[in-house]
Amino acid sequence: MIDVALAVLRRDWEIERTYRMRLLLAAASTAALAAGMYFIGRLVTHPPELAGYSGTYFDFALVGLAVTSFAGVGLRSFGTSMITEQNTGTMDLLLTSPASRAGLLSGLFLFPLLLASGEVAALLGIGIGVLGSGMSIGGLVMSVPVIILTTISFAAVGIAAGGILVIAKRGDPISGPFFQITMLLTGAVYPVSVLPGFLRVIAWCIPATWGIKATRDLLLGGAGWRDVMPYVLVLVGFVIVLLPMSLAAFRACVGVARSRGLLGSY
Amino acid sequence: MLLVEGVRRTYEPATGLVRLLTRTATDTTVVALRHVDLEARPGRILGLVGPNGAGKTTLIRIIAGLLDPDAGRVLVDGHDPATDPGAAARALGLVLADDRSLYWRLTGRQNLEFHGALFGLSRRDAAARADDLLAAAGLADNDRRVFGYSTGMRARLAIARALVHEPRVVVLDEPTRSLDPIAARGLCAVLRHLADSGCTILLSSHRLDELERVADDVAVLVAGQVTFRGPMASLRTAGGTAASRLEELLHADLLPAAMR
Repeated sequence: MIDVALAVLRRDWEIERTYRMRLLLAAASTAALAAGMYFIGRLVTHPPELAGYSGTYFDFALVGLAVTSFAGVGLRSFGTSMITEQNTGTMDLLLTSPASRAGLLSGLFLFPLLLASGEVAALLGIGIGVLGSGMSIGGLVMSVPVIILTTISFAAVGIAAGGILVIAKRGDPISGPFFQITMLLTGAVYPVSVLPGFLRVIAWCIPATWGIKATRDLLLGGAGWRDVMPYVLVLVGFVIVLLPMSLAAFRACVGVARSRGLLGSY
Repeated sequence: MLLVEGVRRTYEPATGLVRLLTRTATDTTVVALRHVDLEARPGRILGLVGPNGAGKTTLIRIIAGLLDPDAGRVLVDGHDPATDPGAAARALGLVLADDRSLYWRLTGRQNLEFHGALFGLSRRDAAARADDLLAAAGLADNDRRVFGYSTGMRARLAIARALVHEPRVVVLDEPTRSLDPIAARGLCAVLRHLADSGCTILLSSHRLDELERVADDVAVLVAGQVTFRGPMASLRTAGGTAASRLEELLHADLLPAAMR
């Protein structure tokens, strides 16, 4: 399984290297985003809703954007890969190989994950090194498992969306709306506490809300691993429930596509 | 050994959730395969011939496990793609008619190495196998990204890719469609060599003269049914070639009833 995932990663890297401008533009976009948040942070100084956190609004938003960036990778990478494989005509090759589906799915996820990691590292690097964010390095290390769990829980939704795309080909009805709702409700750039009551209830049904809260507490709230354990357990619960469901949904969608003669078309 | 037993396949219009999500290829019921029996044996090349729309590609997609049959079964070296897809895939080398199945932004070597990894080869073995196959395909001296290949080079690479994992059964859907006559003859020689080494080969082609040269057996598929199956030699008559007899078989079934 690992060999297959690494082979897919090598393939994606070799293909990505041929699109030279894309990586440069991604880096420029990250720097622009960091600068934008910094200047907004200079306008928004010490709002009472952020009282529990050290640092400024810039630090607050930086953490939210970092976590949602990984969540977005989990959510979108499968669907994007499915569309690409179908459009380039290479889906048949993958489906007629004996490679494990888990290895293929993990592999399709690895390159976007590394790309997002690079972008987030650059974002944090600019924030901490250039713009003076006061995040704790120890907190960064402790937040890695939280971010991984958040990403996997979103990947589960993304796998189900990828399954639908095997049938629908275009027009993913899940990932786009789900990411919009995530950005709106999970506290990425403003705290959940500013939302109306019923939206707050919905917000806590989304894994990213728990992931962002735990990561912020670790990085900006002075919390330790024990303090965020309840959030971590909730994220583990999301993964345990969502991942098997999404894999089953994906298998079912491929089965429908195979029986209907839809595999390989675009 | 490749065995196809009583395979039927009908394309139905989409219903329910599938209809909501997408359009399928047809809005009416289309019978693609009515009842197909075939047997390709080790060491022999079975030529599959039929007019456009006869069901050849549908049959090949069922053999590859990309499409489920409505009835019947396929055995690839003893493994059913529907129930044992991993073992069937390992036994099968597949060349589809569509050369888009290659990664155009990878080099030929990278395509072969990636395919080797999908089939469980170590990096070293995949690299060694890629070396051999690129040399055999005449692509070793000019390894560049596939989008820089000619159509013929892509066809040769697709065939090389199908052989990376040393399959026991090789199925080729119109592999010489884009090849010049010399390259097509070279491919036929490669297929002969593979068959002589014990491989089972199913070769779908519209080139009747080419099939006559290379195939040991032939099956004629018309309107989803096998209308002739037997040794190529049995089609050779005094003063006539097997290719001309095949053409007669095809035309007999293609002509509308009123014109016969």
